[in-house]
Amino acid sequence: MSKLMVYNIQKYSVHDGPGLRTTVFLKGCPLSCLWCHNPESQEFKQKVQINQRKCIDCKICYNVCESDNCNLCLKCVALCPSEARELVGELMTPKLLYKIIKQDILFYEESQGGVTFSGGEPLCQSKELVNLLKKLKENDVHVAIDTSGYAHKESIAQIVDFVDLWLYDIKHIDISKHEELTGVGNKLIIENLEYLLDKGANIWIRFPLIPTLNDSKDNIKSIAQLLNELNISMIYLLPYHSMAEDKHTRFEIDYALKGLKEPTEEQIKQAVLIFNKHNISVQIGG
Amino acid sequence: MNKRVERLRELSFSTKPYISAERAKLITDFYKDNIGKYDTPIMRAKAFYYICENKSLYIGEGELIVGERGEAPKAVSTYPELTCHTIEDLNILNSREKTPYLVDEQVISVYKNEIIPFWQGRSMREKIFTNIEDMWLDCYNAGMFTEFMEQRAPGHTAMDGKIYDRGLKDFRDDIDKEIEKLDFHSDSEASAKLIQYKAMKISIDAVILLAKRYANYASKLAQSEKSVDRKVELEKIADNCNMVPEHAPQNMWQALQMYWFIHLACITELNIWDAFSPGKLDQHIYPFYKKDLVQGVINREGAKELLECFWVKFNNHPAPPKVGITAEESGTYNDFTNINIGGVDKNGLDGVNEISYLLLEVVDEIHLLQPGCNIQVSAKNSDHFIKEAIEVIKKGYGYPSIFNTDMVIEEMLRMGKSIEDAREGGKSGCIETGAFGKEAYILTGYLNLPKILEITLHNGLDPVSKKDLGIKTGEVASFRTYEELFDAFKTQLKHFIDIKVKGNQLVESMYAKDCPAPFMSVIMDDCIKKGKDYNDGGPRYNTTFIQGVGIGSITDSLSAIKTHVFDNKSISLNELIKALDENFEDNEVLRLTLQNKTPRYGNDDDRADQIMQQVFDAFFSEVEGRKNTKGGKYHINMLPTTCHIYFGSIMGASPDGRLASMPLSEGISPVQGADKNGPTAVIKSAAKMDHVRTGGTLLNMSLMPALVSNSQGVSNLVGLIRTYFRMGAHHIQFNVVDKEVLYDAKKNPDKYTDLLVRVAGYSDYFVDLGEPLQDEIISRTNLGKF
Repeated sequence: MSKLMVYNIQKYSVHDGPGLRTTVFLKGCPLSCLWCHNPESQEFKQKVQINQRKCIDCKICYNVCESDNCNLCLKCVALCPSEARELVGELMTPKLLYKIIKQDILFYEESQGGVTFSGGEPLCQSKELVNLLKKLKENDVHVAIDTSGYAHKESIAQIVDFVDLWLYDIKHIDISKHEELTGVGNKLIIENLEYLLDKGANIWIRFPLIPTLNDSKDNIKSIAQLLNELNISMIYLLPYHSMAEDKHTRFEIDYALKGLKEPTEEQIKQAVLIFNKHNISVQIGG
Repeated sequence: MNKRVERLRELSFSTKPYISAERAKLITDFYKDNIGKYDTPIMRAKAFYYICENKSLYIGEGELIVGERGEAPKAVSTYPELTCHTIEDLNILNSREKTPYLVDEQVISVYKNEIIPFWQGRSMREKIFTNIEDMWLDCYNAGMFTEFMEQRAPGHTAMDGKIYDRGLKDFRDDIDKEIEKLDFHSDSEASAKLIQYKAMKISIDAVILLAKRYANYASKLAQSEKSVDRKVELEKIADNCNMVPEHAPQNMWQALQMYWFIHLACITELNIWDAFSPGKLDQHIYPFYKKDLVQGVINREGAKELLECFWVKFNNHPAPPKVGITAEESGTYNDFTNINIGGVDKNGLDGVNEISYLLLEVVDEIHLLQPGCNIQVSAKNSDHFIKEAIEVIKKGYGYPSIFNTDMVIEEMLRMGKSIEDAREGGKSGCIETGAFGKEAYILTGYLNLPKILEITLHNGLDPVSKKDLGIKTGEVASFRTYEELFDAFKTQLKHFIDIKVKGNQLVESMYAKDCPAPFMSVIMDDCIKKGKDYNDGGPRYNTTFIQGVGIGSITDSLSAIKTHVFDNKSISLNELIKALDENFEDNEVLRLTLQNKTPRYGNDDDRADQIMQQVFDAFFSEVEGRKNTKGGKYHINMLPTTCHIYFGSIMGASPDGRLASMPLSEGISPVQGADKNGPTAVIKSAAKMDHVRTGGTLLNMSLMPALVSNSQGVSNLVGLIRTYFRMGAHHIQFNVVDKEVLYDAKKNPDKYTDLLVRVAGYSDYFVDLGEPLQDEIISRTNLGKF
């Protein structure tokens, strides 16, 4: 059975759909958003990291390493006493994932929650996901997919019947600006959104509000107009927060938005007003 | 809250607890004059009468509910017949950094000249320590277990609804009828019963007398009162005190005053554990409220004001001072009154009413240290009720705590209570299950489970006290399998529980003989019917508990041994013990390996959780069903108060990577920091314990405010609670507070004098906690992610 590349599983997730959820973060993403909160999720490959904050400098990892280039033997991870050595990205069978998701099924039932597949970009692993999603559906587990929408239509078509909710990002309305911010254009994203709407999918549109990058009145207005055209009456607004910076430092990845300030209450209010003017209600966060 | 309540609250909050020698002096005077004249129950009842007859009275400005144990709010009585404090004790109380009690020169002088010369050598505390076996003492001093009754009396109970239908006069009539029925020809206990009855009647008269004195005092104050409004109030107070507790209350005001006199009487008679508690207050008060509303004598605001005045009275009464090991295991001013809100009524139906919601408002507005409160949650209660409670919880006072009523009832049924009695019962103290008004459910002491493993690993020797406390279960090198080691642990467990129970039997029988509680006996069914004292098996149910501490620590320690010694064979048991004895010095790699490469409790990982179940089963089987001296049985509880810190402080390092003298795990929570999979995993692990076989478990979780900042977050928390309870759990409580705030509070205590946090089954002021406990609360995993 083909395995899924998972880089984190977060139980008691409360920001990725309704109720109490388990969020499975799948590794690998075709986008490279400047504000990405999970920069370690972009790469499709596994990698062994050192978390310097936990390292006690015992040198055990150096002593067991038999190769100049990491061949993912994972001996260092197994022996590191302080958990400073960590494997980013684990190949997991759908069966194991199902077992982990199922552990919290009573919580989902009591809170109308479920499981969310996030990323990375989960649609990149649709083929590996489809049987798992089927099984979850059969067992009454509510499934959400948190996606950028940047995927082949087949990747969506393959799983659309087994997904209860789509968390779908619109990051910028302008194609070239979208490419500048995320590395890819938005044409495919909007086409796929229309496809999902045709299929009658349940969709939560999410808009990350990043000061100076996508918070112009024009951009917000255009997004609102698009939603009007698509008959979508609600949007989740996710204000930028700078916590991503810490993770970039930890994984030794350059952070392009260093020093960018979080949006003020006033800035958020402005954005909300524009959406409201277009009869679109706004929920902050979530 | 209105101006009146604000004033009363402020006085109660800002007055520092101080020792009052009044009660000690009165009881000493009485005993000096009467020693040897009467049988013990009558002696105690007459002494109680003497106190009620002569104690000073206090009616504070604006008070609506009256009665203080001491001369004024925060004047704390002492009980030299239980614990005769030495001058040194008093000096320590006066000057200690945490939970001091001010002691003035006059108190010292009364103690020096009157109290100590009479009671020294006669107190229960001295009698217990003189008569108990050396082995018990060695174990006690080594931190193997604690002893609740070494300086406070058994109490551990709460009131049911009987005092709202009947006055003390009616109880006196009951006693007279029983006296008439006494058969001195064929009942060999008839004379003993008659003595009990006489004592009970004297104690009833004592409490009625105290109330009448208050009535007269209120009338006198009314006469000289200039404010017309207050004059009317004082006259009503006088009427109330003439009515209750002698007669049944007629309205809500009198109902609250009724309870308060009963409470006052119980905590004046003896220094009983957990003070006393009104039990299901909302259900008791609601009929009066409804009637008063219909008759137009009260409105919602008025009812709230009465409840708030009532609330403040509890806070006026800090726990009597504790010293020695008891101060370590329970270092707080909190006397553990715990008011039950919600749950089911006696027919098993949804018991939430308008007073339940009103009480949540009162708790929110008053938020003083005392009284504690909890919500009882049944599957029959609405989510709305839980959400209203979460709105209070999220302010971060540490209360209300949350109980699974359906499980609480099931626990009582399992212990043999009738369904009616079980439904009228609930929680008192921290998390203890009991049949209110009908049961003495006595906590006798904490048992240090990880210490038993420590001694097992040293073949019976306590490596800290260097005494052979245990029995020779074999050098560790001889254990070929994990199972053999566990068998040795079970043998040691039995040994220590034998010692503890033997000690308990002595203490129980001493209280039965030397320290009866005639007034408590009046109000606890079936003491009157049986003609027996509360401390001698009089109640309908008589339960003795031993409380297990450190389940998380011992689980992880056994799991570490199983994983690294027996499964992976990466270290020998001898090498491990050497490292422990050296407190992991120069061996951080081993310590971290044990800590990080071991399946640990709290992660929904069966490999660890099965070990928890194994320890729980062993503890349960060893204690459950043993007979106490009162015709009742032993059961277990899983709670620590602050004892996990004390127990940890006198232990060496442990196999889970814990360094010497660091705290043990708390309640049934995982070891601090061991849980890596979030709150649902903690809850799943904790729910694998068979809660129904206990009389209470305690699960503490800290929660970031951000998680409950909107209605979605609140709903999610309801889901979390409902799930835990659906899995058969007993209790959960939340500390909703930012880490940053706690750091700041530790640095700048003056800024945070009223910051309440959940400790272990009760709330306490953060700045009053010792540094290790402050650090522990900070380090308890904060579950918020954003």
